[in-house]
Amino acid sequence: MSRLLENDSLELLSEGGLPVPRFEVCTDAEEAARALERLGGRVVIKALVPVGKRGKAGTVKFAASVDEARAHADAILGMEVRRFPVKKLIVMEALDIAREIFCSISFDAPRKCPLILFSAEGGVDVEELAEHHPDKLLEWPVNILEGLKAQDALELARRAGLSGGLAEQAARAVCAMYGVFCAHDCEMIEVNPLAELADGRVVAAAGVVQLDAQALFRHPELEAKLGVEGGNGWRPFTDLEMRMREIDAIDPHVGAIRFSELDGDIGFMVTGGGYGLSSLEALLDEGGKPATTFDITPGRYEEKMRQAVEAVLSKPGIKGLLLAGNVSNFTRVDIKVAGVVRALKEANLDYEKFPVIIRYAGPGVEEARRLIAGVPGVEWREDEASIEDLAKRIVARSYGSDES
Amino acid sequence: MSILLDSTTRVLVQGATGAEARRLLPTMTDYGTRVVAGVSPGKGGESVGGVPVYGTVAEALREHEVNLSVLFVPARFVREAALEAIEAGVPTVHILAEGVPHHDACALLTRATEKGTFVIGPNSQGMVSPGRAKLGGTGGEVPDLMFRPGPVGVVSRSGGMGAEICLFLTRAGIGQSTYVALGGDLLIGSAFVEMLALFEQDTETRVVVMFGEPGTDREEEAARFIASGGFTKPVVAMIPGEFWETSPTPASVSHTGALIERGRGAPSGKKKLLREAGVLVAERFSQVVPLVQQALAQA
Repeated sequence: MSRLLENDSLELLSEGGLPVPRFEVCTDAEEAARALERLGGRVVIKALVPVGKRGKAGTVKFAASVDEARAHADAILGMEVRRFPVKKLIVMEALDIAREIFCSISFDAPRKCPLILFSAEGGVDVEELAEHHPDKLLEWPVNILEGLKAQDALELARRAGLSGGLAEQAARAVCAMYGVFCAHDCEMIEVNPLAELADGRVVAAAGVVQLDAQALFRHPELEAKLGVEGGNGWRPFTDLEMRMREIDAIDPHVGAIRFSELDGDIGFMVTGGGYGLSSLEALLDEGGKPATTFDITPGRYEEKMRQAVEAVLSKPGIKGLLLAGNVSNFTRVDIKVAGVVRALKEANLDYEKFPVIIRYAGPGVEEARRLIAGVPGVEWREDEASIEDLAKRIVARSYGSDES
Repeated sequence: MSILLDSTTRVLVQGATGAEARRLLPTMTDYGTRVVAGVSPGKGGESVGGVPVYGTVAEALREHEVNLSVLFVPARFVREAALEAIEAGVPTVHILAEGVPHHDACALLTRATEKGTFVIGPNSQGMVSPGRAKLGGTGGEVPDLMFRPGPVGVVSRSGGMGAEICLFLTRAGIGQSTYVALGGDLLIGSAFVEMLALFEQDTETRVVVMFGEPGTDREEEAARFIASGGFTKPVVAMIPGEFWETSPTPASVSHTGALIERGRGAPSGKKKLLREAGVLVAERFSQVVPLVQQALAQA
């Protein structure tokens, strides 16, 4: 979700001092043909999508004439890469590559430091490299307070098997990447391949920059580039997810919503990271098919809850709704329940037939109980109800195996 | 006894004049937490709930002995505040804020390691030694509903699930020695291993419950630590999310640490290692309390 598209990634790397190929972003075949002319007559045309594995999806093609460029652009624009329809292309000058190097920088949780992964044999997936040739993948932890020193980067390149001018250029490239990693609060940067060209230059032939969502407040210019194209990280946003984003935007300061639409039929609105995950597992164990996942951070979010419940209830084929959260410390549960109750009253369903189970515990539970009593048929549970009690119950009632 | 926190622990509160601290500080002191001073830049000389406030950590330390500093500082100011406490020589720093940038967390944790500072968090919901003291929001205004003193140490990467586990233990009549929310972020200070080492030394603690999550290798470290004899008391563990390993559609969870990368951090692998180390692994939440009862009977 905080992954930049390749053109934005390459621009950041270029600004940071890492040479990148010339490229243009195009949206149709004619633009791609013109781009080929401007970029020297030999180009690589790639799908501009927020996910990898573009080559395997057949969306990376070489073109050496305007006709080829048109044909490839037309073909790629009709394709999908891992659920993302291709709407834009990146047309890049073709490179005469002599050698491919791999380099990424991310955080290593156990060592609590930035970790550079480097291989003198790039071009392939790092997963494949790590699995089949772990000896060829060099791990290089960096002390974030000291930064990456030029001589250390050179040592890294040499230890990975590079020598002479290539080692020096690769070291400069790694330093440039590390500079970008820190300057823009990145979570991950990957350049694959870092290409040595036939003329001896070293350039980033492809690049991915993933930002730290928790640091975007420091980088409004980058946040603006993220847009909605990245979807929820594995596919584009659905209409319901777009609706939930609108609901979330009614107040950016209170109750941040995290939402996914799934293929199932039970509205699953169980909040709390660990609690939500445990509940989702229990629901699946019981044979339940979740239609959504939903989380909202604490705050005065009555109106957001009302609209969120309304949106989930609007999903076609929904058979039941489970609203729950772990025992609350301070956040009053009746604020949440007030929004839920308004949505349920407005939807005006027969809650004896359409099961709605609600479990909250913590401050405000007496008021919540009173509010729920105003919607006949809704099943209210408190701190005695465990994760599995709720999962069993919503599955039994939604799928009709329980007639009580 | 307890670990890290009891009624004699001398606590400093950073961000003491902010709304969050003003709201939570009285619940901490009412419960027995010994808050000796507060710090808020530019607010030296004020007081919050009877606690004197200083402009800097160093000023507070000139007047008070401090064992632990708890940070009620918003995420964007955590780096500076934590580094101030670390440089001033506070032995334990407890960071509550959610959403601390990774680069900030990394910098302060690196400095803490160099200085030998014990860090809990960021994104820790709090810490409770039932009947003695508590830090942060955990337990709310009526902690006795969720916590009671007893022999079970509880450590959780999720604040919500840690509280839920304590609630069900308490409902079953089983008390806790200390409950620590480690924090759900990718980069956190101490984790299960550090807590297990402390619980090993605590004579009151007879069993430890750990709640893990997908991602990172905190649980794997714990399994290796237990297997190597670093912790000799019974452990009950729960790590949800195995379904995720085979699911084509990643569910969204709010913890940035809960990412499975390149097969590392998968719940199935964590649970396997823990079982091999002799840990009682709960596949479902309802198994946690019975497994704790079983472990207490053995311990």
